Amino acid sequence: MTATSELGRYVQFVTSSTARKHDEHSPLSAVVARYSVVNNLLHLRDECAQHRANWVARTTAHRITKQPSAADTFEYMAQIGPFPGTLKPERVPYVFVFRLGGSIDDAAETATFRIVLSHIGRPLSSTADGHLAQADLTTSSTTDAILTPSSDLLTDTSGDLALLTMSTATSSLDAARVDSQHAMYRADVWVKCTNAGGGAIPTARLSGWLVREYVG
Amino acid sequence: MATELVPLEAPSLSAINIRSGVAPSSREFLNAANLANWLAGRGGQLIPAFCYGTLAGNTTKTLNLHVLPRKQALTRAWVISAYATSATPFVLTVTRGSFSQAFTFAQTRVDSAPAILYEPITSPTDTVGTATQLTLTLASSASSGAGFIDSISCFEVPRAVVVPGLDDGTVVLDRYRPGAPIHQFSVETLVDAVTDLAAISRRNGMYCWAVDVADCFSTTSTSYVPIFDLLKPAVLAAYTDAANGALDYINCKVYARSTVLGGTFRVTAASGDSNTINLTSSGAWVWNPGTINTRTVSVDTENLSVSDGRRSSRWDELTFELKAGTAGVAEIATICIGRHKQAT
Repeated sequence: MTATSELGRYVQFVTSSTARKHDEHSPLSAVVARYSVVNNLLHLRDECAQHRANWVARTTAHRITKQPSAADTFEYMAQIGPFPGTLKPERVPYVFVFRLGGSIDDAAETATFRIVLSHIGRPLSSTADGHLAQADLTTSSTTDAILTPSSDLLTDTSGDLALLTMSTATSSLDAARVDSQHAMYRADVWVKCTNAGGGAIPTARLSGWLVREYVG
Repeated sequence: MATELVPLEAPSLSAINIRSGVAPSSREFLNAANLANWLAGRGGQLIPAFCYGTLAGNTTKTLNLHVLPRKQALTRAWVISAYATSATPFVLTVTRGSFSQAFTFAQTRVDSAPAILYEPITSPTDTVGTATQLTLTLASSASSGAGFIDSISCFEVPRAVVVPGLDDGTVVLDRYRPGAPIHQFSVETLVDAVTDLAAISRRNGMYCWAVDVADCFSTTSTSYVPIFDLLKPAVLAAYTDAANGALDYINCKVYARSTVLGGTFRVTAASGDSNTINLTSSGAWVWNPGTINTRTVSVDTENLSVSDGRRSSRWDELTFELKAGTAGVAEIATICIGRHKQAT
């Protein structure tokens, strides 16, 4: 069970009009407190996860393509986002669940897509170092398809945050303008291609992505 | 008006300390009140990041978007990641309503920082609880080289403070200070907050495809034709209601036009449900269905008992199709999917 609420769902409960059958000095109901308030709030927290990125190429002409300059070496292919992360009480973001779609233009070779999760504003000097989480997906198919990773989760347990600050009121109801901070993440796609045939290095084609938060 | 600070991270809360026959401590209620304020103050993702693609120099494109804000209007942040595809810098002016800002993108993705445009809310009545149609204009300057826009997205900026009494779902924390007696009235306040928060859309934008009308998808076929040739987008609904279970509805709205009666958009979920939107036959570009309405289709809800939330180990994918009326043309430039409390 990954839900933080005991029931894993929202409970339809007595409305406040029912609650008002008691006056303000009545003893409280532990059942109402536990299920109607605490568990429902926990479930609302579980379910506030957002779809941060969601795209599929409409046609072959709309794909993101990359022909690496060298074989078997990761090169930067696409930036997804950046986007804010919803933070758990432990000050780490919800798990990011992802999927990627792609293909390669030479069925004799293999493209390896690498999706990496990192903080906004950090240098992108390496595909392997300094990232919060990453996963590889391979294909030798010339037909676009959703690729299968060993795990579809990107989990940041670093406890480190990259915060953006906005110094204006975030709602027209705010009485004062106060700084609002949000933790920002980015997902980047890198790719490498084999070139066993020794001809031109093949072209990798990215045709879709999804990154959504999950309470995990 | 007094305000309450909203923490950056979700406040900790546990139900295990509340048992029948034992008076819960005021600390538990304080934690619950803090969480209510946090939920009320956080923003949603209005437009999930989608790839726009190439934009030539000296070109203007207008995207029509449909957003499902939370009940309380919040500042929107627009994020654009792009790079110049030639040695000439890619200079892009982004216009949202009365706000406009120019950004210069470098050549290569590694060197090019994303652009963020904050669009403040200007009026208490601005989009409060109402799905909104708006435009985003992307204009490359006359001297700009071409660029490639990896992703466009929009999210609501989380609030640093909330205003109990004015904001739905918010609570005055002092009522639950440690050591204070907790009466039924105090619990009732929290119950009201939970009710309000449950009514606020929790998943907001889930999918968006948008192009300028000049780049729209068009068909004259009187049979349904798929709009997407390669893959299908996937969505996963929030498990909002005990009565719904494995499926819950999402909202769909399209920016389209048809020259005759019979132009129809159809959305079908892999889990089985389907729905159609009859396009207005005026020949003019409009949002379909009409002003505030959306069309719903049921999709898998999140399964909170598995590691990635997928129900039945599948991604519930959406198929989008379009057909024209007899001797007519149907065209579509935007598809927006979200989840909103608003009536269908």
